[in-house]
Amino acid sequence: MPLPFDWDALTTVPSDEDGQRVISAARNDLEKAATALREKFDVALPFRLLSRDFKNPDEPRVVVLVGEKLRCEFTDGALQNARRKGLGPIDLIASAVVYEQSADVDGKPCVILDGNWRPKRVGRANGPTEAQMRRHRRVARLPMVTGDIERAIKAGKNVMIVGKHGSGRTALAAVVAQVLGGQGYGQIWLDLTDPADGPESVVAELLKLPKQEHYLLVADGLQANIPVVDPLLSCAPLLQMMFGLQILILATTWKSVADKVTGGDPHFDASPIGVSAEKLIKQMLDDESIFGEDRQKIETLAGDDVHIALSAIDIFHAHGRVPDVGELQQEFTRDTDAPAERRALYHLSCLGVLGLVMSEVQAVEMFGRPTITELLDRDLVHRTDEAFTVATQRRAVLVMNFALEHWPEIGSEGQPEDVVWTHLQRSDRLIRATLSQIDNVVSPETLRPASSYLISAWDISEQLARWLEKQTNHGPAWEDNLGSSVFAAMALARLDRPEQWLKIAEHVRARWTYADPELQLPEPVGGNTTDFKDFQQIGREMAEEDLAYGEDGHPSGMPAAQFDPQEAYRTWALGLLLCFEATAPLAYRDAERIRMLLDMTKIAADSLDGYFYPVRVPWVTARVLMGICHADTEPRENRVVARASKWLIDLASGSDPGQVVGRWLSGTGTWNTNEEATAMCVIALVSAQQRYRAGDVIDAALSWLTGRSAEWGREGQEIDLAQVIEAFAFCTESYVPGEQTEMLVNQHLSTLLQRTRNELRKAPVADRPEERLRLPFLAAQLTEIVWRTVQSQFKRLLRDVMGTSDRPQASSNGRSAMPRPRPEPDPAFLPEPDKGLTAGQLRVWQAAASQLRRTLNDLISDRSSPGKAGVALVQTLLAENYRQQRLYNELLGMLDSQATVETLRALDELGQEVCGPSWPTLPYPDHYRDEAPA
Amino acid sequence: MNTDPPQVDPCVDAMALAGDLVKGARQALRMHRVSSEGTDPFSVRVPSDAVEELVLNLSARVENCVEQIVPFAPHSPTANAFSGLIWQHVARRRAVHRFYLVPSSEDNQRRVQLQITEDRRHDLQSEPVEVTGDSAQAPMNTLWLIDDRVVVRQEPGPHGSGPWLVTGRPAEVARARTMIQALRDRVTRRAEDTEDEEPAGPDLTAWLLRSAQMLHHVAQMSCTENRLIGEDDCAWYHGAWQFLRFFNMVSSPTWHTEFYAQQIRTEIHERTARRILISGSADYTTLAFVLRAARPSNDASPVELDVHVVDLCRTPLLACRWYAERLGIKINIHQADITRKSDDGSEGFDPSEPFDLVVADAFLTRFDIAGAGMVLSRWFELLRDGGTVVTTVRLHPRNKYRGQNFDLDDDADHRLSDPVDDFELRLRERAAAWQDMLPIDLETLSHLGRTYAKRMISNDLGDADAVRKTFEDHQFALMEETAAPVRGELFGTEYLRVVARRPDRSSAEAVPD
Repeated sequence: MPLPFDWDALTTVPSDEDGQRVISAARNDLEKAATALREKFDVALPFRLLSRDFKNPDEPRVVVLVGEKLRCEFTDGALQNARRKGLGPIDLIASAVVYEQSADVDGKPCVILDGNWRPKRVGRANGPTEAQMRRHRRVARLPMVTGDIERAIKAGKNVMIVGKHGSGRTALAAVVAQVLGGQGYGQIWLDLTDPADGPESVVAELLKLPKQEHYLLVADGLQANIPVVDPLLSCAPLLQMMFGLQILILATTWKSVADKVTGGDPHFDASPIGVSAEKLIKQMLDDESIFGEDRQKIETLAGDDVHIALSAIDIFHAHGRVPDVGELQQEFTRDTDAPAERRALYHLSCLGVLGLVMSEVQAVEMFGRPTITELLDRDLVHRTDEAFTVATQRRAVLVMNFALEHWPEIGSEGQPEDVVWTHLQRSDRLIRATLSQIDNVVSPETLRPASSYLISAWDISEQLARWLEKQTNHGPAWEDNLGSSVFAAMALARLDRPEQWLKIAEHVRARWTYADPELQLPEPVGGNTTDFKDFQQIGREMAEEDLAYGEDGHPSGMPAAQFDPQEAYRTWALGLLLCFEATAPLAYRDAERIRMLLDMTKIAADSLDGYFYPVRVPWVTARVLMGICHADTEPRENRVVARASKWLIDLASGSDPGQVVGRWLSGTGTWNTNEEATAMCVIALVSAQQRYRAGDVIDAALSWLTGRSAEWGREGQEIDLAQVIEAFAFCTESYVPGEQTEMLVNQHLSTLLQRTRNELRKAPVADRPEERLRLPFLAAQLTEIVWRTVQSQFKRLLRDVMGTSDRPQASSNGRSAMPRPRPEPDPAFLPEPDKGLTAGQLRVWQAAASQLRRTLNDLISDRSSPGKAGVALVQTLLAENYRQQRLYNELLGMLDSQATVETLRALDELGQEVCGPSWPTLPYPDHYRDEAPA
Repeated sequence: MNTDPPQVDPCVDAMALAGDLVKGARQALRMHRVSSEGTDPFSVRVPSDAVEELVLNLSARVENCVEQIVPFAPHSPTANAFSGLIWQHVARRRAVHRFYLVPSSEDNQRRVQLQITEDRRHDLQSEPVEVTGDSAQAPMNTLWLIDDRVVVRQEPGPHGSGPWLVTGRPAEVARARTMIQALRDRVTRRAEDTEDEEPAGPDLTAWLLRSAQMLHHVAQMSCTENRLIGEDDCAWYHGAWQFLRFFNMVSSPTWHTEFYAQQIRTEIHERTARRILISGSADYTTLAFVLRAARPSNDASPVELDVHVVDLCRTPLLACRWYAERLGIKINIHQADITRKSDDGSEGFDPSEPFDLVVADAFLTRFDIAGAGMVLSRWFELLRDGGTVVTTVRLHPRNKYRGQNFDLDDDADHRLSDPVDDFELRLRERAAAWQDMLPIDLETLSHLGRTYAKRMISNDLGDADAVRKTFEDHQFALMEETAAPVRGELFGTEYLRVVARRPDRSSAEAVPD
């Protein structure tokens, strides 16, 4: 039901107008709304104006009485806030009803909203349309189950419909709700894919609904917004207690979420009713009289998705045969060739895979109304509430795969998880909802046994962001400290605060110069920044360290006496400035600055060995390397990167071939620890995509770090802790070292979160090493850790949804979940014992293929990152990578002992093209099964 | 002339060969020392086994004054005896002020006073500061501030073996100064507080520190299937309980100290309740309240009571018996289902006489509405006419969710949106200060807390009106009911504090309006 009124009178009052005029105008609007509703019918939850309250002339109030029980007072500040945020009179009252009560006035509980109240959008409670109901009725075909639900509701019980993706939960709920609606149950329908749907939405609906004896609150898709479940399910008894409204709840969700909701504190009392796609599909096929081979084909095609089954049945009836996957994909995309429509379908299907929707406002903004209308008319996208989606999730997967495979221009839109991540960042509540889902649930059937602390890491990142904002507003120069400025800026960019980023940038860009081609390193303008003192202290600690080493001297061969703090400081600044400029919000990215800094790295690197000054301190080289990798579109092609990486690898490799040392010394005494230095070097090497050259060294380093957890986990070592966790998170994403590593990350992440909370509460102490940049650094690291973990978890989630558990390439490039059919080998062509690849040779080829796959994944992942994806050159390179990935998948399907020379050569060439010098020399068979050997 | 080549002593040869390896080992040791001792010219870390030498060296250099914070752990081995002796000698020529952080209990109070008396004999000025699990003023690790310019503190380590940091860094000195001043202020406030008020409830901090680990281990063996706790056995609940209690993370009678203390005292001393039933108990806390209330005052002998504790699980019963035995008191424990009589099955509870008083803390919400009704019926049957129930009931409709309205800026405690994560992090924060005194490592504790937060079920029995009606429907007369907000476990919430009476049909007992 559309809102009856808006702030007609209040809108005419200027925002700086005196409070009394605001109150009067708002009162008029509220009175108008109340009267209009009263005249229409007896309202479920009526409200009326009581009075204006001018007891405090500085804060006059409008007073509304809701349900004759709850007094709500609104100051002019709250009214202005509501208007600015787009909350109308009904939403304002709804927000107040759910808000915490302040006091009792005249024996009635009272809620006061003043200028400090931060309004949030209230989601609408729109039920299914008639078109949607027609489809729901076709799906919900088990009268016994429908009957059970109806009986439970009529007996006064809440009900939870529990089932997997595509099991027909929503259809069942819709049909039951419609039946009960005809029997006097007022209906409130919430689709929890809208993060704004919650208790306020329920109240807003009750303020406009006709009075009934009972109300049915349908909460569809609890799994989509786990944080709102408790307050939403509890609002029904609360409203009953306050206003005598009899509200029963019909919720739909996955089994894992149902277990969580009914098994924890508080305990939600609901009768669970399970639904099984298998039974529904059987009933559908029986009803449609489809038997025999066709029935089997439909069952196989549909799997666990009743909606796919229905689509297959419709096609079967239309064309007389059961479609295959490809035909189904064709049906769901219908020769869409307009680029805008393809874009829209791709984006919506990526979101649909995770059960996410795109608001109408956003969809129109991104794709244009004509595009959306066209797709809606052709039934390729679906409307839900005030948003659009491709539903169900299985259909979304098919559409997404099809897009990735057949629409090459889609490559520039980014990987599915990147599309999703960008979408999530539009809304704080949405990101919380999705992170909570990832954190709590590993599949529709299984709760996550251990938390990844994603949502809590995000919460604390947001707290840090607010702290950073305040500090930046207070002093954008961060006490003239480059490190603090850069880390703060990186975190603010990641957390979508471009205005604060710019404030810092104005200072940093003015403070450092590097335009002069004669300069070998960036130069501070107007004297050194405060960081320089740290390098002087480093010099002193190096001297202490040398004393400890005695006559043997420092292993690097560089004594403290030779250390030039100025050069080290400026080299480090080079790395930081690269990180800073390369992670700038797109609107403020300055390609020219990045180019100048990259050019500078060519001069600054040691001509012989490729390290950056000083040779004793590898983390400076690591910092510069990280900066280059952020900034360069092709770090693997960068000679500076290659040489610096080799130097780092050699440092941790020992003098004998095959020896690994597995850690890097900080070289600065204990100003930086060896653990911190090692973590930075690992991150740098993985960023530089040196994982294959450096595989053993990284393995050893991670193992060493694991054993040193007592050191980097110590209190006061939070920077080390954050750095190490980031290194592990980085490696987990592209490395999959195992469950134990993930457990370690989770365990120490909770320590980091706890300590960061403590840091936020107390004033920073400026005296410990790196103290000044502690909180900004932690902010940058935490946001990076969340981003990396979310990326890797998203990939797993996608795999769970798509049902491809052990094929990362299938999820990352969106390949179809259906395996490529391998033709049965013709016995005439089976290799004789001395033909084709031997078992050993095949293993070598398979290992090389894995290397190629991972390299491609790395490239695509890196080029899809928000800082780079918008660059034209990167888009071209990305498209090429997708092409290479498709070719790889084709060739992989043919890689076996019988592979032809064509296949092997093609794979070999592709590997050399992608992996460059790190591609191994591969063994070819002596004889091919069908050709003479090369 | 002997032209044979000189004989090489094989031992020397072996030693020469070994020399390179030994040299490598020395280098490893040097590198280790650099990283563990540090290169900060104003700080050094000293391994814990060097503490005696450290004390000797530092004590000789004290010019004016040493201020110390020392956790008081009377039951731990006397590892610091030598250190204590040296400081006593220093106290003869320099000022030594010491604050003992004392896990509160009557026993510890006595012991620390003995220690303080001994200190004063050596001119060492010391004061006790009582600490509880959630209100430690300082980390429970030793700290010395020497001449207001150097801090020496022991870092957390397994079994108290953490290294010692000696530092002159201004920030560390300032932090130590702040902690010491806070303790000093607390001592001053205590001294100025002229009213000699007895604490209302029992002080169990030190008790919990002693028994938490025992209960954790015992629970693994004695906890069995418990339908009130969950599908599996209740070891996750009873095993974690006392640690969580120690840090005030979970609902217990201490959230309603004044209420329980006053009501139970009234029932025992004014209404002569002697036969007392504790219905369901996670550990001995409720029992402690009952036994404390039995004493008219601190010095008086307790009234003799006939206390019975009933629980489905053996673990809390063992805890109650352990506690009572240490106080020299006999209690009766019954592993039984309070809702059943013994003729319903072997688990039933069927005492020979009625009770004067039933005490149960937050017990009814272990049941759904029907189950809570059964409990109330059974309590009614178990009470004599005029008998009383003293209990609390959580009011779920008054849960303070973060939900959609939360705003991270508004909450000074920086609460998180995931309540389970928030619970775990709060536990970690509180436990971090006690690491060296806890018999359990932080990660295990954190895991126990998390499991508790995820699995704990509390049933919604409605708001105050609904709860009142439930009591009245089961023939109880409500003598008192007050709703009181508490911080809660996962959410802020309110509890209804209830005193309900089985009407005395033999006399015309006045029932309040």
